[in-house]
Amino acid sequence: MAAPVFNTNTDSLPVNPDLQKERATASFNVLELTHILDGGAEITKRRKELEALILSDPAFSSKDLLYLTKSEQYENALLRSVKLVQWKDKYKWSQEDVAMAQQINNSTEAITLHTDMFIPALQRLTSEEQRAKWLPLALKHNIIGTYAQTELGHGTNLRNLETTATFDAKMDEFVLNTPKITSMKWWPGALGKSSTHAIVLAQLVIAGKHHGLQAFIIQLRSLEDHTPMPGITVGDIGPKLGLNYVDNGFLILKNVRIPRENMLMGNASVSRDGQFKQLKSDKTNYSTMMYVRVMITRWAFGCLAGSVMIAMRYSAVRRQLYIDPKAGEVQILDYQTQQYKLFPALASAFAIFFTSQKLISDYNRELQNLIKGDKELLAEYHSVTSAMKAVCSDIMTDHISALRRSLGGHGYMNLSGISTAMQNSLSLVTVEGENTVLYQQTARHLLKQVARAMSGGTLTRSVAFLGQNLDSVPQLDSSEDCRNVHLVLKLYQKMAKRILVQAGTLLQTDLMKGLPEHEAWNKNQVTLVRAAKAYSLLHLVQCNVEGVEGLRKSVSPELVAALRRLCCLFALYYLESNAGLFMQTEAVSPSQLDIVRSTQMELLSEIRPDAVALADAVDMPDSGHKSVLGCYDGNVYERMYAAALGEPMNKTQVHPSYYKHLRGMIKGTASKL
Amino acid sequence: MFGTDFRPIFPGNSYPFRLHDSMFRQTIQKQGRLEQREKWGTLAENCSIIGTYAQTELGHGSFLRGLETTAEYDVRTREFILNSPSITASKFWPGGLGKTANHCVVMARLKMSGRDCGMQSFIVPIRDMETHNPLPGVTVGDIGPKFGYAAMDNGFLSLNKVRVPRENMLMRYSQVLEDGTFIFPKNDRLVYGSMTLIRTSIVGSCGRALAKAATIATRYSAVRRQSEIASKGGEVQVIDFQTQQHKLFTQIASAYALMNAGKFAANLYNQVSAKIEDGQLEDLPVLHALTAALKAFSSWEMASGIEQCRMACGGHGYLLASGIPQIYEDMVPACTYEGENTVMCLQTARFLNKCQEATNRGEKLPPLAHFLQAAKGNRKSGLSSSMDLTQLVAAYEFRAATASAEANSRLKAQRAEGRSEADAWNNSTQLLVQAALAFSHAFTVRAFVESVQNANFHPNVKSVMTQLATLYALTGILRYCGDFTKGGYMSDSQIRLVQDRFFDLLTALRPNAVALVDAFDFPDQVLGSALGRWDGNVYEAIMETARKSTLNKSQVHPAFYKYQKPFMDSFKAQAKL
Ligand SMILES: Cc1cc2nc3c(=O)[nH]c(=O)nc-3n(C[C@H](O)[C@H](O)[C@H](O)COP(=O)(O)OP(=O)(O)OC[C@H]3O[C@@H](n4cnc5c(N)ncnc54)[C@H](O)[C@@H]3O)c2cc1C
Ligand SMILES: Cc1cc2nc3c(=O)[nH]c(=O)nc-3n(C[C@H](O)[C@H](O)[C@H](O)COP(=O)(O)OP(=O)(O)OC[C@H]3O[C@@H](n4cnc5c(N)ncnc54)[C@H](O)[C@@H]3O)c2cc1C
Repeated sequence: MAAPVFNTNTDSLPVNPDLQKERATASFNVLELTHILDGGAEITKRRKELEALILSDPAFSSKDLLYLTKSEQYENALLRSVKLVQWKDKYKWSQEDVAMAQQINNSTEAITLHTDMFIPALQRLTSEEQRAKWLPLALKHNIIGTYAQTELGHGTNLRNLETTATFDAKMDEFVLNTPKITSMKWWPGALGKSSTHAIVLAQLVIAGKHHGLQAFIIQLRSLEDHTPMPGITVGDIGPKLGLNYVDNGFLILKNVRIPRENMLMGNASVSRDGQFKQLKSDKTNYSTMMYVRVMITRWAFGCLAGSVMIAMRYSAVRRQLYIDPKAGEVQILDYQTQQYKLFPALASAFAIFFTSQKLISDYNRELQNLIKGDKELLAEYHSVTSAMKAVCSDIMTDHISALRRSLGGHGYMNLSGISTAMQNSLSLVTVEGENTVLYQQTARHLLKQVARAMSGGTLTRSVAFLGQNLDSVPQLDSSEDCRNVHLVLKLYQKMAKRILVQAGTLLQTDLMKGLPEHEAWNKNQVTLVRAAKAYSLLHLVQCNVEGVEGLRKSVSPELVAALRRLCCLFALYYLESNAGLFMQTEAVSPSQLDIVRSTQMELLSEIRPDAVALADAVDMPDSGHKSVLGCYDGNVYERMYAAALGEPMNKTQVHPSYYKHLRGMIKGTASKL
Repeated sequence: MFGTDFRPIFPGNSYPFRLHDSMFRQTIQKQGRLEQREKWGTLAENCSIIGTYAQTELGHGSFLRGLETTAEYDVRTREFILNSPSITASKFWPGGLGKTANHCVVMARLKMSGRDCGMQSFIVPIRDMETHNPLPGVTVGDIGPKFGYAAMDNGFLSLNKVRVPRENMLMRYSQVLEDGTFIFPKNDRLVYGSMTLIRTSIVGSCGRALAKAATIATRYSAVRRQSEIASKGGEVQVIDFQTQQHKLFTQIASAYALMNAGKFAANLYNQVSAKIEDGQLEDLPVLHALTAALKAFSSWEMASGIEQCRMACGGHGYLLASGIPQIYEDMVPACTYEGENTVMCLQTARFLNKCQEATNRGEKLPPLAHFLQAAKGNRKSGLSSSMDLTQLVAAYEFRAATASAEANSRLKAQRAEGRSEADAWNNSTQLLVQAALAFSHAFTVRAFVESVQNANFHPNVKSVMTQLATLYALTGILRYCGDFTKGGYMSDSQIRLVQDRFFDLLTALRPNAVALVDAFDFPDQVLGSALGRWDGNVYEAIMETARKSTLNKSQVHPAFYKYQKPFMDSFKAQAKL
């Protein structure tokens, strides 16, 4: 490529003056908010240390990473996995450090399932001897494992998985098979190329009798040369919308024999003579499942917050058109419509943050009781985590694609950072429980609670509102009322309670008409999912209000005020966008909706001066998000230009395909003239 | 970003000659004088020159008057000197510009001895016809990896005092004479004609893109069996779940609605164009307003609709082999190009606002905007359990009229509070955008209903299309029921009727769902989808694409020897110590 026409040394440029101005006018101290998001000043400090280490390594921060093919992306992600483990050992990282390192790296390693699923499963599902045998091997990375559950034909309905493990009493072995094309394992991360072992879920068959799903540990690849073991066909499932650096894999098993001891026997056992015994309920697995769902709310926060940060900074730098023709071009952040794309997304990020934080602290507090299998608690926590996983990933998904579009044409560049974040995060609505299915699980639990409330039974915390009399909650009559989040919260409760009761009544009516339960359920399925969503919104608003109010004592009043504005915007935004729910339950009338709308517009103007500072507080380093539009210093155009010059297609002035295809056409027709 | 791993057979919107075929040749035809059309048009038609259309710059896309590239006339040599004075003036985005095109229509600000003569189009040769190397003063290249459009070399271009002969300015409207006299165009409103045409065609394209995604998701949902409805009743096709029907059927309806709206808008364009040829320009504003917001409405509906279809495919929707990501990536830029959606809505809103003011003065409105007068008075919907289509259209027109009246009164209130015109406008824009979308939505519903009522269908087809049009209208009423109950227009019990009917329609449409998407008749090669194949052999097809993954070239990936093996060996070594 010829010498660049414009300066492309982006390190030497001063901070964009518009951004500087934004930062100077913020009403609160950004660092204070960053500390809250990190969990404390020391944690922020620790994060910065880890960032300095990780992001100075080219494997994590090289600008060339954008241009890799799928195969090269995988190679790079494998290198990242290796480096993180090496650093962990070398610097004696704590559990928290490891989690933070993953967060800094946006979990873009190839082998996450080894630590996130394989090792926990070895801890939970094994007998004592099995643990003693396998765990050290896994912890020391002598074997690399994954967790293979989903099949080509089944993801949601695990009971119908088709892989079989048949006990051969003569040999004291299990014989594993994936009999049909739909039975092959499909999707597990790191299964395609990296893992040497897998925990495989299969239907246990002893002497023709089925004993349900059990977990088996299988060696996939030779520990000498990594080639697949006999009877095993394994590979990568091919290109995906995002996450192309992970070797999600398929696995076909043909008469694969493993010793009887390779069935994980923590919960159930098979004896030498083929006796099957259920030792304890498999409900203990739930705690891990719930934990993963909680972590998804946390990722949803990270993806959304990072994207908002990028969009906010760019919108402060980008000038386009004018409001007042005489006053010159304005920052697009000054357009009300732009604010309405960005600020509700920002407010949602904080709402998800406070919710996630609450879920994590509840989990840590109750972990022992969850593991013990406290039924009431499990049911409640299961209902809440399912709903929050679904609603947080839904909300994040909606906002991220709108944020990408809010950047105009440049949002379509991978360099924008949001397009890639979006592609990677879009899997969250499907994995670890498909959202529609999760909402239904919560709906089932909630309807039981409605029935209990009606018969005067005691209610757990998350559904206590069902037992309250909410008929006399005051109406929203003014902008002040709208800003009273406690009042708005009450209206959410009123709405949710009535929606749930109405849904329950519909179901009941159909049952009374003599419809079998499953038909009645399917006939009202959309209504039930909607009811669970209504409840989920209430729960988010509640966590958000409690989270912000909980800071009152420890945080400066300016910051609390700034967060309250977001909290209020969040509640009103989702009230308006779900107006149907509120009107159907007479919680809000159409004319009150106008007040809700105009109050949101007031809030947009009030949030405007703090917008960049609120986004800055997310504090994702430039080398981490790699967005040319969202850099701290706002030198957007120089970075875009410099990056375009680095595009491999520009290595030569004339692309090789010119000689192959284009030249002949141009010359060929030219001679005809 | 997906490297060599995935190539659809038909690249959709993204292929290097797209701009040559469309914008380059069209601009020459529309803006060139006869001799220019003959010279350049012929060369372009024969592909002796390959061109593109460079308007957008790094710093400006929506605001065309903000473009910074300049063209200065040099009377002495009778040439224009084109220049990109700053980094933000670099052209950025034009398709085919990076590596393919050797000529380019460049939009630049014309300066005549210092005087600003507005934006003009210039034909600029950018690459040598022999060697294909960039010409002196030209810096050109590909802009780098994008969300989609991998097959298109969208490019950047900076011009350093590049000279072109006077004849290279397209002079159908404005002219520069040899001596440097500038002649203003007689009527520059006509210049907007081709923009309107392109926006109209985007509406139909959005409908077709959504139709593709709906075809894939619907066929797959008929093949996919997952979970039971009745316990021990066996696994059902996921299309039997009510929630799944909700996801799919609303999008099938939306696809039909948008394709149809595109047809209506195109007819309208042709009618208005014919009148314009006769010198009648009065319909131009309403046409312009309608197509601007309709382009925004349809592309937004398409984008969220396609995503819904993808997610309805569960995990496999996330595979590129599902074909849906490709459709989305290909079409979602329609929200941004040819007029950014928000900016489009606000243009329409200006028109709506003028209509409101005209109504307030008691003036008559043009036919297409006639219903905006309906906001007056205490109206009640006559909707009954028969769900009469005419009543549904009336409801949407009521909603559009109310939204536009409300935006207008907010604007007036803001002015009354003493705000400047500019601030008053900006503080009302969110409502104005909603009004423009409500206007487009009403147009789409009316077009759908009219086409169903007037078409000469077989009774069976008519009956299912009526169901579909009704479902389309009901979906919007449930989604925006706050708007429809304003001022008591619809009552709670009417909303309940709507809801009941909506669920009944899902059941009623179920037997015809696959037929409705089969009717789109997309060949498998166009869908490019393992999930949406006509023959339903989904699992074999997914497996087939997996086998081709570049990671599967060897049983052991080279990265294993490079990183993983040394890593695992280092632990083994430790264990031995
Ligand atoms: C990026 C990615 C990574 C993954 N990683 C792993 C992994 O590491 N290990 C692993 O084992 N799996 C993994 N998976 C698989 C994932 O867990 C499944 O895709 C997920 O559980 C959804 O199941 P499904 O694909 O069968 O969807 P389906 O259930 O087929 O969903 C299709 C449609 O049917 C609907 N539907 C299904 N059942 C019902 C019902 N009862 N009621 C109403 N609607 C219903 C759904 O709502 C959806 O609209 C991964 C998937 C992705 C996308
Ligand atoms: C795939 C693709 C292909 C393209 N191909 C071409 C091509 O061939 N030739 C070419 O010339 N260009 C091309 N473009 C560029 C495209 O035309 C521009 O990106 C488009 O015009 C939008 O302008 P922008 O990027 O400046 O957005 P911006 O105007 O910067 O938009 C950013 C944000 O600001 C908001 N905003 C801007 N002005 C206002 C306002 N007045 N009021 C309220 N909000 C406002 C927008 O709503 C948006 O949210 C292409 C773009 C893409 C993505």
